[in-house]
Amino acid sequence: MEVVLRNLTKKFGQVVAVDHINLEIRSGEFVAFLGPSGCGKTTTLLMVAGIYKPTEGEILFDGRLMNKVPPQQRNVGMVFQSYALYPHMTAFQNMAFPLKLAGMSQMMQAERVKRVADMMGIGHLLDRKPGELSGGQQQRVALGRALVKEPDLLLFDEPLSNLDARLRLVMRGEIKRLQHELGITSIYVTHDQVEAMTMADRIAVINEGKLQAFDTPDDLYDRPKTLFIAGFVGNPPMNFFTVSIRRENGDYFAESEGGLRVKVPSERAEKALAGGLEQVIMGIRPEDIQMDESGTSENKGPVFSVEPLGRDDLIDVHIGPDSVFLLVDPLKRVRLDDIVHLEFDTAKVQFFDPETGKSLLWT
Amino acid sequence: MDEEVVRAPWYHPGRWLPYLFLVITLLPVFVGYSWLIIASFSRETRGLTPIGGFTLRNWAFLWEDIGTGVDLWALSRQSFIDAAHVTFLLISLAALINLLLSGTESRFGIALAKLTKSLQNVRAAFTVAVLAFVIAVVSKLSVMDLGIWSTLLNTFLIALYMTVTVVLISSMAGYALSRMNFPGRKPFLSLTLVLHGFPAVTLLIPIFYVLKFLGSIPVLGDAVGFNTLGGVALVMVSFQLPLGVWLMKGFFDSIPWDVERSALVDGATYFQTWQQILMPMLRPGLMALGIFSFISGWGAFLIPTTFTIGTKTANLPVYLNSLISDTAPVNWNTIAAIGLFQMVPVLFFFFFAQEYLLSIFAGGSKGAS
Ligand SMILES: Nc1ncnc2c1ncn2[C@@H]1O[C@H](COP(=O)(O)OP(=O)(O)OP(=O)(O)O)[C@@H](O)[C@H]1O
Ligand SMILES: [Mg+2]
Repeated sequence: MEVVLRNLTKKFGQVVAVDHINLEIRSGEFVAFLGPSGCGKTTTLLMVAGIYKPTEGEILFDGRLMNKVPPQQRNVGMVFQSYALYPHMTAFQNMAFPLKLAGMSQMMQAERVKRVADMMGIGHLLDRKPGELSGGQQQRVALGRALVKEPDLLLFDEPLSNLDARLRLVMRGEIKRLQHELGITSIYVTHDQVEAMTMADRIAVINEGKLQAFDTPDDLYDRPKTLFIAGFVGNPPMNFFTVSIRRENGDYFAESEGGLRVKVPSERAEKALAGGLEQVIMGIRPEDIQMDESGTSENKGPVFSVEPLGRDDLIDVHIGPDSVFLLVDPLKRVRLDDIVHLEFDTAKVQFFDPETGKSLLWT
Repeated sequence: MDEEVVRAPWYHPGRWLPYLFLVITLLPVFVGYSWLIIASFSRETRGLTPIGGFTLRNWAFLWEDIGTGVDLWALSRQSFIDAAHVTFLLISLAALINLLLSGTESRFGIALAKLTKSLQNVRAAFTVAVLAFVIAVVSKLSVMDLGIWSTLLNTFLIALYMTVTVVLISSMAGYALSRMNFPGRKPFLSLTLVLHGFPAVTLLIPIFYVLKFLGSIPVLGDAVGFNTLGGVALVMVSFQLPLGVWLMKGFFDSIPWDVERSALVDGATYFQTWQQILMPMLRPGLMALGIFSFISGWGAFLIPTTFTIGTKTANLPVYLNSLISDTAPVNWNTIAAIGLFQMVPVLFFFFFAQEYLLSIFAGGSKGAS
């Protein structure tokens, strides 16, 4: 089913929770809503489900205006952030509830519930009440309840937030595979980037109720259209420097006031200069910066902090007033206050307008 | 609770201090009840010791004062005929309305047609008939003079009326106050709390005027005016409501919004959500409030004694009080027996409904995590 949100807006009194969101979700697509806490993700989902009435704007399912259609007639499945299981019913009854309401025979109900429950790994817990289940188990019951009725549209509100890392990985795969097999259009709310990047066909990045970007994971990562997206997507986040771009002997150099100086690809530099801006914001991802062990690089500075992340150490090198974050091999044993030389791979460098925050490279 | 509990040794004060405290504080109550039971079965008592052996004479009120000419057979026959009439009338009326509405397009008409249609089966007809019969019997009994049994019926009717009304209104008001945001919600909540704090005594005189006024309204006045059971129950309901509304608001607050929303998304109508999700989750709370209201209606004295005159509308506590006169000698043993008699339903509730009563302080939604 195709879902279109047109100028969708929700106000709670003075608070604008969702601000003129426009989205077109293709049939069978898996879309992630990614954004910080309180940005209006849940509110948007509840409007799509029919619980909240939009203050303004339209919701269309397959071209049909849904604003006035009550939730029970929308045939959506939703996994609530708080699970919202029915405490007086067993896990089985919880999962069978939508089927019972749809008037399905008892035998069919049992069969469907059993199949989904086994897939979720909760087949042995079906006669327990929610109060007797762990948070993760409850979450899987809620997930199962949304899936059993095989709806036209699936809404997930952070469905994996309470699982341990391992189970989360497994469930991610399960949800993705199932969604793909059934071909159900899905909206998946998360504030976990990795989840969004790995699962979604397209990601809608939302901040303060506004849609910041709606693109494939690759586009968001390699071609961010705004400063916000560049800083938000990717972990550890991108480094930003205020620089001015100079041309010397046909090559372009970006120089910060603090003394950082890197050569940048001419194609990108020209685009950055095209706007005639005196200063621009340059963004480089930590993984594009290496330690230069030969010690020839002119960009050097003391190590300000070292943060072990397991596979890598995240270190913060100060070059003048600028902070540069990069990942290094823990075996190199970088210590605080060591002077390190840095080498920048600027093939993927980004430039932004400091005033508007818009990318100078991509529109 | 089958896991091993680590206990302190017996000489540790933590082991026996609570018991000691309980026993000492509860001793007077315990002694009081013991006296009640002993006295009600003895000719005379001195302290807790019966004098002159045991007797059932104190319980004579159960059969003594029943007026003559009560013919139970005639009563039930007449009630049966009345019930049959009412049932027949209702069902024919339903059929007629249904017929008239056939082919109607309006929503209300369709809903009404559905309702009338649902009355036309054996089970519904039977239910209506039984209800009509019970109402007929009760209304006939309530105008007869059956001594203590009339008083008992009065007491029961007041308590029942109170229970039903309080539960009904509190659950609706509680839902609105918990879920909806309307202007004046906050002031309303604090106002009800303040009202609950008012001692009933201070309001007796104004309420008298209100009941007098209500009594002067034709038809309605016969049901809820001064010196009627309805009037007494009405006043007590309004004293009980603040507590009920607050309790129910609390119970609804303990049910997360998302559970209701989830039911709607799962395909339930609003009615199904109410019936299959909210009510089962609230059942302990509703039961607790119902039992509370029933017991406080059952034992009510101040309001009934103020707003009723004579024995026709008296309830048990008022009747009990009327036995204690300043001039004639008081038979305390009879009073003990009546007191014990009055306690029966309370004891009954405590034995069979403890679990629900306890949950009144436990959020009211069972099994919520
Ligand atoms: N019923 C409500 N009344 C008033 N304000 C609300 C209501 N629901 C949400 N808000 C506000 O709207 C904004 C968006 O809330 P929402 O629940 O959609 O955030 P979210 O993106 O789901 O956040 P999280 O990731 O923490 O779940 C928040 O600022 C919140 O305070
Ligand atoms: Mg949320």
